[in-house]
Amino acid sequence: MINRKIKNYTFILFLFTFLFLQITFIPQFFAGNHIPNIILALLLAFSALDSKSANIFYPAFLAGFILDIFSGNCFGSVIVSILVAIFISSYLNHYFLKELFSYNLFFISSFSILVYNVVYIFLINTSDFQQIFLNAKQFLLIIVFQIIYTMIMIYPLTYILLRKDEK
Amino acid sequence: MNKEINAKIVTFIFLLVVVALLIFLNKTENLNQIKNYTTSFASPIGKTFQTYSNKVNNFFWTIENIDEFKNENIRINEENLKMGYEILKLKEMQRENEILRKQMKFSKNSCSAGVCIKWQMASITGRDPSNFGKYVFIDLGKNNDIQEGQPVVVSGGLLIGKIIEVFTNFSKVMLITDSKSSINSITQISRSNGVVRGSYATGVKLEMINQSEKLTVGDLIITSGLEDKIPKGLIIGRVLNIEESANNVFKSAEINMFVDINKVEEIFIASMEL
Repeated sequence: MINRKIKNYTFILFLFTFLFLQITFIPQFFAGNHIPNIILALLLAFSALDSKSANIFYPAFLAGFILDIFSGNCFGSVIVSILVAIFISSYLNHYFLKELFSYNLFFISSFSILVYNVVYIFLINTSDFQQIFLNAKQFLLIIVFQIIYTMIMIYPLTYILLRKDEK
Repeated sequence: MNKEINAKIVTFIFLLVVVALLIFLNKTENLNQIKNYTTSFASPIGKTFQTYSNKVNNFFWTIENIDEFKNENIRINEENLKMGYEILKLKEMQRENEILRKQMKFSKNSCSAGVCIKWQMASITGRDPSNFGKYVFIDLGKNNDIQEGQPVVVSGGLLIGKIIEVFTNFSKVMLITDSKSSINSITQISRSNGVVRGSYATGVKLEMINQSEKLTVGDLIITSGLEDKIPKGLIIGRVLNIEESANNVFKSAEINMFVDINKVEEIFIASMEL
């Protein structure tokens, strides 16, 4: 179990910058391709750094709320998916993440991303849920790209946050 | 240690209850003010990013496809020759058409059979940030008399979606590539009725065509006019590939769209005036 108290200002700065990018730049730049979820990557990094407290749920809730406003799908689906993914990540980090920069971080984060996507498509529509599983290749590609994007970000992010915290 | 886990579970359940409350507030349209403020803040920035990201994407696309341009150029030149002749024929037909319209006393604009279409130009200001939805936000809303169900087209009358939610200053558009989108349509030559549906894997598909109907590759697919606010004749695409099987009740076809929806910036909202 890793228990780092991240300073509030670092936390708020990162969260709002990433939220701003996720709703403006990212969907425009990646339109038609696999869109990275940088908010989920940031929250997973935070969840790994501070797996002891329940503080991570509040920014996850706020981020989900903002993303839901900009999502065309039914309201509440992003908040619930993010909360479930972060809850699982936080729970697994609590028991299994003994060292920060380890393979466990990769497996826990990947599993959380999978949970996020499954919960999300289940919530947006049951017919979508069926359709996406009929197109299993498409669904797998989305998950693989999400994991790649998140992994590209999560290790440097965790490192940066840790350094900021130590200063 | 159990105490910490319990605290997490309690916070998690508490936040789920708050989500339920928010969903209720959203249903009763009490969150619209917050949505308006948030979108008003993000819209101009999203609009700017749309233009720049298109330029960057186009640059990479050009580099990727540089080899194909030579062949494409030869093909286009050949097509140009054919088109020149077609244009001459069409000009002649247009002249005849104008004479007939004058004789029938129809107005010059987009009016036919007593129905006029009013076009309003709008800009795309944002896109769905998730991988599972094909939605865009536009800068026209209730203040501009936009209504749910109105079709969204690009120049040339190419349908790209329809309005699904209207707010004070902006509206949400469901693109025809979204899996929840369905548009009543008809093929131009064979007159086969069907429904155009979005699909995750293939973009858009023409479905629900009777086995007895004849469908040909290359046939143009247009809106059938059966929906309340969508006029007849908006172009959706061309039949690319027909999928039929003796076991299925209906035929389906993949559609080749004429426009890359992801690169669209300026759009038009059509409203019918009787």
